[in-house]
Amino acid sequence: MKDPRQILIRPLLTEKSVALVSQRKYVFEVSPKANKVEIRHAVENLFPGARVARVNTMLVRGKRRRLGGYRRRRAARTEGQTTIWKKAIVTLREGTIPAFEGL
Amino acid sequence: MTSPDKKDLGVEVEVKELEGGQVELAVRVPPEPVKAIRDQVIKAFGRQANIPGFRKGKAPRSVLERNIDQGALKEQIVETLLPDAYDAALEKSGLKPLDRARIGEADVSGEGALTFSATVTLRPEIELGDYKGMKATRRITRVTDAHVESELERVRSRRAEFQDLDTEAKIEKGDLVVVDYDMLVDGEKREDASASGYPLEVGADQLFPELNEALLGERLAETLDVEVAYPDDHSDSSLAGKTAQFKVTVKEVRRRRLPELNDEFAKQVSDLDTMEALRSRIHENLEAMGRAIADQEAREQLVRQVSDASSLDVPDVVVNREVDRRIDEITEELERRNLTLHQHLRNIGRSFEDWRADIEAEARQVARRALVLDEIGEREEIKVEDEEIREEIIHRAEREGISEDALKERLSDSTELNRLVTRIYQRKVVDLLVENAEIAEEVVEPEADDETAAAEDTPESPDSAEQTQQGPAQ
Repeated sequence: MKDPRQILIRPLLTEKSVALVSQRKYVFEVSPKANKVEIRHAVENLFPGARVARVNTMLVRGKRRRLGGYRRRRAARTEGQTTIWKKAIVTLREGTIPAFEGL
Repeated sequence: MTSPDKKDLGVEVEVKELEGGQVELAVRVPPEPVKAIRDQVIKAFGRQANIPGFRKGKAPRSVLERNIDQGALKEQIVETLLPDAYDAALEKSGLKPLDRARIGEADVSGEGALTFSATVTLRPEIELGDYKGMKATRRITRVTDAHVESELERVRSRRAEFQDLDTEAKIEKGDLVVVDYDMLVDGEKREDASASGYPLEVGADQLFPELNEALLGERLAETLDVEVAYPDDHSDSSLAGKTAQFKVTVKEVRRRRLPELNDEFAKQVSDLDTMEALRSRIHENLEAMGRAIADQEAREQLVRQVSDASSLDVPDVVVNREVDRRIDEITEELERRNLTLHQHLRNIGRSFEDWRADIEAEARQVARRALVLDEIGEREEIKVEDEEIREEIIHRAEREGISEDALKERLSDSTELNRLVTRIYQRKVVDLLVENAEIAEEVVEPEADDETAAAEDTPESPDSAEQTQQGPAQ
């Protein structure tokens, strides 16, 4: 099995994700290549006592970002994109995840 | 969690004596109150911290903990807690410091206790001499006609008018003269030392004493030559040891015209109608002034007596602070007159050490008296009431001719206010000394020569009327 740390990149700590903790849902940024089963195993492995009920994943599309402004209209006015990443909402049946504790 | 008592904080204090009446306090505040403060600080941080993913003030506690700068947190805790902890430590140890504490290293230890050290100067042990039933003498100089006349002359010369003289009249001593002059050194004109429109009073000019003589008997619009020899050690080296010629032209002459001393004059300078009345008014005023001075001296005597009769070691810290304050004051005063301290010392021909020693002796005396008065005040439970502060402010505003609010504004600086309170306090203590003292009154004949006599070493005159009087001085 893959190293759980390569699957779970970081816990996502935002107002919204913190609010979800009360529903036993924990939000992570995960590797875009990881699938739900891998994520379930990673969580159960990394956080002893945690039993995963369900995993929901989604790709977060990057946003278009225009570079250069009015003055550079003629020359290379470029457009880029912020990074695409994968978000996983893990619902636990048992146990907790320390990074979200005490919020 | 129980909120810790704000006054106590459960501090632990260790007192270590140092030299010079100083003491070092090692203070430890247990973890609990420190933690309470820590929580406060973190909450305060959370209210204004911008943390990604959270709106302002919405980040949860544990996220804040991770985001806060530990050093700054510690600093903030110390800053918030220290004043209270210091007060609590003083309370606990029962010490009464004379100065503000110097705080040493303050730290929050691993277990969460706050420790710091504070060095303070303690009020020395004072053995008071008897301060009740002391004796003092109010020496009042008898006001003579000569005093009245000389005061009258002062008023008169203030009322003097000046009249332009024409080319006929000769210049006399006391005339106001305006001159232009050119200075020639070795036959060359010195632009920097030439002037036009220089005003002087003949006979009283400081800058060119030679002019005082030379102008006598001259007339308006005349030109005269004056020679000035500079000494070898003159401060301007280009002039030292040389003789300069001044070409002086008299541009204006004005003569002082003193008003006549008649009833008209009395009406002008006062609300009185006759010279006789004015003279007796002046007589009264001089007497009142003499009494006030005598009162002041009697108070001085009492303070000196009790200070001399008490024994204490004046802490050097206090003396030095007083010395510094005085030197600062003097330096400021000199700066107003465009002098540096260095120049001033050279002018009065003294070395700094020598000069400072004088100031120190004086400061020691002042500090000693202040400490003694404090001790008496404490023993007699003398307090300064708010009402008295208010009165003093009104009084002082009147005397200085500024509005009450302007004065209050200036007193918002706490050291200024403290000084005011101290002054009232000391005055009340001395009042108490006076109330409990025997004060004799003695009328002293003025010395024939000295118009202003009344110095404290005036010899006792054999026929001085003497009456003993008890009661508070005004």
